[in-house]
Amino acid sequence: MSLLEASQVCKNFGGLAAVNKVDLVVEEGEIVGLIGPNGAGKSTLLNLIDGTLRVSSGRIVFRGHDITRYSPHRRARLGIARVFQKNALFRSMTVLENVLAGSYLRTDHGPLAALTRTLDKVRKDPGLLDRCHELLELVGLTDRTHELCVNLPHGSQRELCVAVALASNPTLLLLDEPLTGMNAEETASMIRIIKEINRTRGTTVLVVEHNVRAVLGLCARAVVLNYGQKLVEGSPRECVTDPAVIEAYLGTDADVA
Amino acid sequence: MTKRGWTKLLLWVGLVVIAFALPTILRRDPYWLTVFCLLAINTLLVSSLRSVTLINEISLGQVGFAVIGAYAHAALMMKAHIPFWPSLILSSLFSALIALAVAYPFLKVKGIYFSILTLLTAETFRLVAYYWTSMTGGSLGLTGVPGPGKQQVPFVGEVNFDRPANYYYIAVGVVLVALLILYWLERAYISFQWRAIRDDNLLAGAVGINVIGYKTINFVIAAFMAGLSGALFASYQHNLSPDTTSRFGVSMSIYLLVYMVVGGKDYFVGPLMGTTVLMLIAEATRSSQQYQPMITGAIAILVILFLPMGLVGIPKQVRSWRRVKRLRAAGVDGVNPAGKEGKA
Ligand SMILES: Nc1ncnc2c1ncn2[C@@H]1O[C@H](COP(=O)(O)OP(=O)(O)OP(=O)(O)O)[C@@H](O)[C@H]1O
Ligand SMILES: [Mg+2]
Repeated sequence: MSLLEASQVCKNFGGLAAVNKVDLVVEEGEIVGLIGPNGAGKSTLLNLIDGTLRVSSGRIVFRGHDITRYSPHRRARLGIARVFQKNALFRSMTVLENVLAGSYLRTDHGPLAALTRTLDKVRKDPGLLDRCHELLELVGLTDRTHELCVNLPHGSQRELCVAVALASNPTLLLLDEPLTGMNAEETASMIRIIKEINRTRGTTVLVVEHNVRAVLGLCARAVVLNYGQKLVEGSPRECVTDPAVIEAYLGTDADVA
Repeated sequence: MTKRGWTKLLLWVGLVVIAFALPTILRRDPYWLTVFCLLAINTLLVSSLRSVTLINEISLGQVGFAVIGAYAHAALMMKAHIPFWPSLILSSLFSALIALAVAYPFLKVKGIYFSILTLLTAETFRLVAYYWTSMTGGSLGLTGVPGPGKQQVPFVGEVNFDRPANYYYIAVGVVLVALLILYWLERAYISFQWRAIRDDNLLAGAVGINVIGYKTINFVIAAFMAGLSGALFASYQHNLSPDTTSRFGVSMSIYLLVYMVVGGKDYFVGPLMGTTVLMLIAEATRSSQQYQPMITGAIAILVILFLPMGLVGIPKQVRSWRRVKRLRAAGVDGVNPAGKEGKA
């Protein structure tokens, strides 16, 4: 059984078919790349997988559960985590607090516990703090633990987003353009982080990325979307040299070659 | 405990002591005691409004839940002959139950849509009270809502709590307990979930927080508190009117908002501060009643312009002004000119 099976998934916005009959299978332990020109429906597909949006039609199965109608938090409980395309962080919180908030599912949660336990007690839970510091170490933010997250530079915010997503200990990590707006050094470090997550934690990763070189370096398999439809699927090298893909990227094909 | 923690505790203890000493202090002036009683009831209502701001929404519907609490309390006591205390709790619970029933569509919408929806719902509740004549007395109002009556108090003996001077103790006591519960919630783990939702509700959902669920809990608790405030009011005033100009009208919702902002919406004691200051000013200027909205408005505008953190935020505001001044002084002398040179 595959980890994730999306079959014939569609999403319409009014008349626009943002995602159109897409089949996508992700196996446990893979890093899969999802590429395609702007507006191809990549983010929308991730939204359908993590429950931010509901499908117009089609079916999504994760670890044997039909999650098509699940709300986002129920999917998170099953082990799906998400890094959004924009830097989505808990704005009023420090770096550490962000990771603590991300750890919600790893704490004694549920409304009753939330009503009867003090926040201080949760904050001072040594096991939880250790886990948070471990994650901050992984993404290289240990020296900024108590800074407000909004004061971090873009690249570090991106890394924090990854730490927050990892805090729930997900089986499947959805990354939406983790490398945009990063300089060469930050890009290299983010690629290293993603590989390390996959290798040491066994986390399966589905990554949307425009940086073709990064996709070639990261993924064993890639899926190309165009106008909401799946264009090609295969090794990243096959994908980026496919004539149909080059045509879809027309104008930007220079950077594919 | 930290030094600040002790200071806070001391302030609270002082407040409670003053609150309970007031009847003795105001022995000769029972009128003022009724003012303070209403002040306590209003503080609870404003606090319930602030509690909803924790999920980043402005509720203009707290008055609606107060209407439900007030009329439910009146009906339970007058028609079902249920004693004061159980009726107080049951009517607040009823208000919370109604909130639970309507919560889902409310919490699906955000921002201005939430505010409008709560406002219209409150108006609907008021109009139900207005037209359901057999139950509520309709536009004529409902008179003769009983108070707690005579009750045995340990060490004191029988006390007639229908006397305003004595009802004061009940109102203040209940409001303090209610505030304590609200305060606990802000220290509890749930406040962290609310904060996560307030900061970014999509991300909150993505990390596994049941956004609608936690928002519902917040909304229902706030409705309970608003209902409690309404029930306390019913037994305080002894008569209820669902008129537009009554305390259940739209303008009251706006006043509650003003009280909260003037006091400082980011502070737990903001509602207490705002309600106290504005109500006392309104009382002091009672002789020129027609100008009262203007006076309140002027104060609100001044506070919003010059003290965006509200009255409770003054110390923090002063500190930040000082810091800016210091930086400016340093900047004019050194930093800025150097920057200009660098560019040249
Ligand atoms: N909430 C929405 N309502 C209406 N249309 C939408 C919505 N979200 C996305 N779309 C449209 O759906 C299409 C696919 O958008 P999507 O964001 O999934 O593209 P993408 O592949 O992620 O592009 P990019 O590389 O620019 O991030 C676009 O045409 C977009 O305008
Ligand atoms: Mg996108």
